Amino acid sequence: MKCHKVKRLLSRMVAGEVSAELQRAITDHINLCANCRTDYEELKQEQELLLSADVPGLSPYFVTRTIARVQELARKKREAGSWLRLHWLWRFAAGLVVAIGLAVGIVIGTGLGSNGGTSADLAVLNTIPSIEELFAGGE
Amino acid sequence: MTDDLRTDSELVSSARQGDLRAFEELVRRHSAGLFAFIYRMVGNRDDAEELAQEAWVRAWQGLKGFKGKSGFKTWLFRIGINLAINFRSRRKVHEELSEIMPAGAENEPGTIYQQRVREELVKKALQGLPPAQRTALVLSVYEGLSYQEIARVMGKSVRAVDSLLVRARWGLRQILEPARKKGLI
Ligand SMILES: [Zn+2]
Repeated sequence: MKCHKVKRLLSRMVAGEVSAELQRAITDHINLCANCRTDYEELKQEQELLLSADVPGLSPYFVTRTIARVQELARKKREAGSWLRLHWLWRFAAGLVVAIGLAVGIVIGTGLGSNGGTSADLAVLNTIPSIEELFAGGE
Repeated sequence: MTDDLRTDSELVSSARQGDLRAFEELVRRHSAGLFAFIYRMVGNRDDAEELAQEAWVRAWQGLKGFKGKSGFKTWLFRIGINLAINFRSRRKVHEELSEIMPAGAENEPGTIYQQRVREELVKKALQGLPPAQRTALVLSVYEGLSYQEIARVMGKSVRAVDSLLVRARWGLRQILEPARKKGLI
């Protein structure tokens, strides 16, 4: 096996990603070639260095803090959901009021139109105070 | 059945229904591993904790989209990888290898001092690698994943993973060369 091919395979060798047959071929080469042997030794040292480094401990409150954050999110989502539902109900109610108002208006309007507007109907209209009267009453 | 006896996928399906206790058990179960992985990726404890917490928040929010094709841990680590790769620390990063000695460390007993130097060296070396190479190396060395598994987690081909690892090892050697000359390795 040629040096460049061996060098290309060394990282797989360190990671244990070569077949037994390939491993034998690489080992045979390394035993004879000082250059590739040095590369392999350094690679193994670097692997040991990597593995010797510890990770600091996780804060003991990590789980509690994380769950508190998720709980807060879940609560906000619930609230947002109920507000949306409420919002929808209000809109529905407002729509209903307008629709009823319109329907009543149409019924009255058609009533007035059908008999040409009797004096009795006009008398009803006369009982509704004008804006000026409303303001005068308020003083 | 108590939560700690349930499998990940059982806990996941409960959590998807909004069961926070099941989710809490998942957090309890996988936080140390997720944190260690992210710490290797970003090299700072506070950053790693922040990112790990963010990963859990995203996991909670994305639980409905988790189809269970890969294991929960793989899926969680993918979230962690994305966060770590896109992360830019606001903290000061020392560039020089000569700065690796922690302040006052000379007064510590020899073995503790050596261990701290090694840890700083590793941190520095990993941070010096491009994100994709660093990810593949951390998954290989610390998570013990095979090339095939790394390929699955990273969404790459085995060939691409092999190439990333060859370049990572080569890069590592270049970065560690000054320390080797100083006899620190
Ligand atoms: Zn050779």
